[in-house]
Amino acid sequence: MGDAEGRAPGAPQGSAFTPEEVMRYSRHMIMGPVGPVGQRKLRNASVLVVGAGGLGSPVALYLALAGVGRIGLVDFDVVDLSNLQRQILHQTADVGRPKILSAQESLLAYNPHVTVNTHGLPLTSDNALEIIPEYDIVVNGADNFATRYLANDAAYLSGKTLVDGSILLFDGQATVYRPGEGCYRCLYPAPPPPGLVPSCAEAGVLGAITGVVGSIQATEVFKQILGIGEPLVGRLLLIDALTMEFRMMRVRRDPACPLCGDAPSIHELIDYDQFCGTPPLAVAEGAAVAAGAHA
Amino acid sequence: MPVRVYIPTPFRRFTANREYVSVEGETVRAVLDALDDAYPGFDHLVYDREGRVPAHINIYVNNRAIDELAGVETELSDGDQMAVIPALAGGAR
Ligand SMILES: [Zn+2]
Repeated sequence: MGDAEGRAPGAPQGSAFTPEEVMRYSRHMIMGPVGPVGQRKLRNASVLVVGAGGLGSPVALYLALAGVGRIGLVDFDVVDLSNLQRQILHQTADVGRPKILSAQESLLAYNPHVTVNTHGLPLTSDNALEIIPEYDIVVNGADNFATRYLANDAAYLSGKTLVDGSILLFDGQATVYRPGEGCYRCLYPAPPPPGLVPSCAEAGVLGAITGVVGSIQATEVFKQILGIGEPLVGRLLLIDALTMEFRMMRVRRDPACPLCGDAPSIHELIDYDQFCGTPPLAVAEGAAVAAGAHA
Repeated sequence: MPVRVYIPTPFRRFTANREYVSVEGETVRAVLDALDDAYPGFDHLVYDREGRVPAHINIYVNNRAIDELAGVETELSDGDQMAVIPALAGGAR
């Protein structure tokens, strides 16, 4: 599976927090809705982050800082100089390295008490139903429609909540799909024809908006783990950095949805490149080597 | 009856960088037609070859998708705000 585990030696797994951990997490633990019980929930939680890039970086960072016990990263790409304008887990010296490795290193440097599992492969129809069930919650930070539909379908079929976020130019979108309460296909039944909606590589993206959307996704993960607040379920948050307006649109489960509707036709994963009319992802050479090294 | 339409940043190049466009129209379809009159080419964004709103675009009246209402025939009232929102794919690269 290309899995690899990173954990600092000597990090305690037991039920009691060390004085160092109590101090580290004190600004969370002092809050009533978190407390020691909530902090333990965070430590016992596992979250898969799809994509260690613009969105995955701030999401994984805040999860690690907060002591979410096990964080999984799926990414096959290597760090490119053009990533550094926004992808805060990677630094200048990481250019050319697999993103999962520089991300894992950064996260453990911030908090050695967490475990970072790396999946140095593209998420595919062949591995998604093996990787996703290993985690409690899935966060979507994918940069292409094929992976977005794949993550959506695989999370739903695995009965996992998907915390979704996307960005382009000065815009961001965020929502949470809980199985049975609507999904990405309910919101967007089909992807745009190839070439119609540009990617960030083609059109650009404001670095700071990835932090805004990623922080919102991380917040939704905390709420989900702690069981507090009103989740961003059934609502689509639209963020416009230029007007600095936030809008909340209603999302409903579509009874005609082929995945989560009343008479679903999708019962297993499909060919998402074919569905999106896009060529299969090319795995960068360096990343493939790294994945092999950790298989 | 003028209706205010919110244009997100990916579509703003079609509206001379305007965040909001006010046009006349009694229904969503009439507003979309008026938008295309004001900004020729806008209809290519919101209609596919069969003349339907493509599946990767949601049109909202206030905060509700027109799929929940009467589609492009949804009637508009004074003060309604429309928004034309595409799926975005960015995240990692
Ligand atoms: Zn659905």
